[in-house]
Amino acid sequence: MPERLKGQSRPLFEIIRLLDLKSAASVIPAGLALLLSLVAPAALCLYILGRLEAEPAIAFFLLGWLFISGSEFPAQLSNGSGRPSMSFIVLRSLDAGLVIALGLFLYLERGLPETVLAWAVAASLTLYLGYYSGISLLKAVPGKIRLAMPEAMVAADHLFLSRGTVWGGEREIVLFLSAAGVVIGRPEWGFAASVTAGNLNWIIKALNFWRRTKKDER
Amino acid sequence: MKALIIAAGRGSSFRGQAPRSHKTLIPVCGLTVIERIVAACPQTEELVIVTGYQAQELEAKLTRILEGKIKFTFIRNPEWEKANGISVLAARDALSGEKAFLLSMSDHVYEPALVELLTAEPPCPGQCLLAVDRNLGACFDLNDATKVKLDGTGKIVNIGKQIADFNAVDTGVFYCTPSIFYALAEASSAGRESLSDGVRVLCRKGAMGYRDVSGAMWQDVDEPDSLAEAEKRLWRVAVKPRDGVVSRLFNRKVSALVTRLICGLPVRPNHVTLFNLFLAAAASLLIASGQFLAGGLAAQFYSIVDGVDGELARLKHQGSWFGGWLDNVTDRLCDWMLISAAAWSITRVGTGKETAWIFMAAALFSNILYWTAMDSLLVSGILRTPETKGNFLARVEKWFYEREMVFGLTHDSYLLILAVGVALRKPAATLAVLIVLETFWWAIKLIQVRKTRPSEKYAEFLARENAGKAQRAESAAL
Repeated sequence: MPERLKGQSRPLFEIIRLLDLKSAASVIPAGLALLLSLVAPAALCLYILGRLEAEPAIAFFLLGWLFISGSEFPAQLSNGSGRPSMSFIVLRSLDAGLVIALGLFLYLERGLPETVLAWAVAASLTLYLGYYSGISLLKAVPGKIRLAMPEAMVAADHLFLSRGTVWGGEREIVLFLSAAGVVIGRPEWGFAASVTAGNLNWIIKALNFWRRTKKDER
Repeated sequence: MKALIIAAGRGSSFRGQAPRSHKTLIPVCGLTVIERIVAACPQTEELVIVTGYQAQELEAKLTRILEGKIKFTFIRNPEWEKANGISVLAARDALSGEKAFLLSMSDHVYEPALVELLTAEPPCPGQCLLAVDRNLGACFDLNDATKVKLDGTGKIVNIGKQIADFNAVDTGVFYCTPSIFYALAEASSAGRESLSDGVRVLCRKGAMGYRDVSGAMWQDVDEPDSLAEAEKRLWRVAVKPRDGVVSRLFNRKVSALVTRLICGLPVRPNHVTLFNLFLAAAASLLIASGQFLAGGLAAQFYSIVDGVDGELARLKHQGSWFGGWLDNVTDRLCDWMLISAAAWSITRVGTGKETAWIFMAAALFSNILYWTAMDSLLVSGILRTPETKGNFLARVEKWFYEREMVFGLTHDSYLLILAVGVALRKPAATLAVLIVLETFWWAIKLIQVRKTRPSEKYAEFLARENAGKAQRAESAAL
């Protein structure tokens, strides 16, 4: 392979390194994950039984969803099924849908001002943008690199599919801060904080990524 | 690898039109010929440029162009008025230690594909290779071209402008070993001083091979007509190989005009990408403020200009991974601005804010869902290597694919529907149609790929991953 092409492929290896790091860092003990995941159905049951107000029930549901979806369960769903895309579509649409639905609930049912809904929509887009800016790295791989190193390309693609994120943290930031805002009774603060922190998270990580790899990229 | 560029001559054919400029400094679609040569030879680590006529001035100009881009050295040929073989010989000391090097005329533009074909395998020791084009019908000026006679065994048997029996033309790019210098010295001692004379010496020894690069773009820029032809050919290469239907049939025709206008300016593709963000913001403001027609037109103009960054990148060899990433991310931001504005504009046609908010939330959610589905299919390799069975949709897609188009709800068709709907003052109906189309399309694609077998590579990868997981679990248990 030409020397200059080797230099240009550096972002690909950087993505693989990032995804490998994620694999090592993201393992939560299975028992703890299961325990925390129970928060979601428990909150739902308590709300239905009238033992919990809607707002804390929603917040606990969001946190429970974060733990369920953050475990290895969605990845296991896709492995071996031949349809790796399905769990991602479910995961991302539920993430975005839950945050938007929360905003709609607060606006339409609770009568909060429309700015709350606007922040909720922005938080949902932030969550997606964090994910999308990661997947875009793989979409934008130059054709010559894709052809020159198919093995590395396939590895990067499928590492991404099993990890679900390049930058990491976008779901945790947005879902946790949105839930926290609801719990403290100031949902707009929670949404605004998640928009700010969520966008800073992916922008800073993307800038660092390009700073590390840009010198060889032409 | 080093590359030898012969730029010692006067460039007489162009003298009438461009008296102050050497042919290698002539801009072709926004880049000088020498810049195009550098871009076409990505394997090259150092240029050795032979100068002669107005050497000092040319070297100063080339230094300004090449500094920081590639390592380069100049070699002066005091006998520049003699034939071009003497210029090649002037670089003998600089290149005789090289195993192989590229040799290029300084007035030829070509695309990287040509050099890739030529350098796919190194020449045998003592042999040289010439990139030849067998497609004689595509040669712009066959009378002026250097003709080549190829035998059936990969060897060149004769070369020259005046030979009557030929079956290919010389593209002006060689992959040489130092044997070229011995051949040129031998020819020169007999009073024959052109590069073709040296090549004929190698031909006689059976040491002159060729690589067929027919189909790869190349053109010399000897005179204004050939310069115009070079620009025309570069435009053909700059067109995206496959496009959405709207882009191919309409957008590209307009975006090409915009790209032509700006390709001579110091504008980079990333500048255009960022400009698009402002264009989409302006269109969104117009739509949100109830100026439907202007907003719709601005949205469609944004869609057209969205193609300019890619065209510019391909035309000026300025494409980058970062640029592709930035383009993807800004595309989503622009879409969201336009969708939000279209939803907000519902309040301008007598509907309440609640409806507008619900439409906005639904349309943005649908957009997120659509792109998640499409991108996860793309990254999973299914869309990259389609193995779909021959159902009706696959046949329709194939029909468009063969016509260099992509069938489906692509970005260009999405924006056209949005622009037309908004211009007709029907934002709610437009968003509803887009939501239905998006949902329908990703659902169809998912049904389609249910029948798709995961690629073998993916299966191998999964096996490796699963083995790794089992190993980690075992280590953790121990």
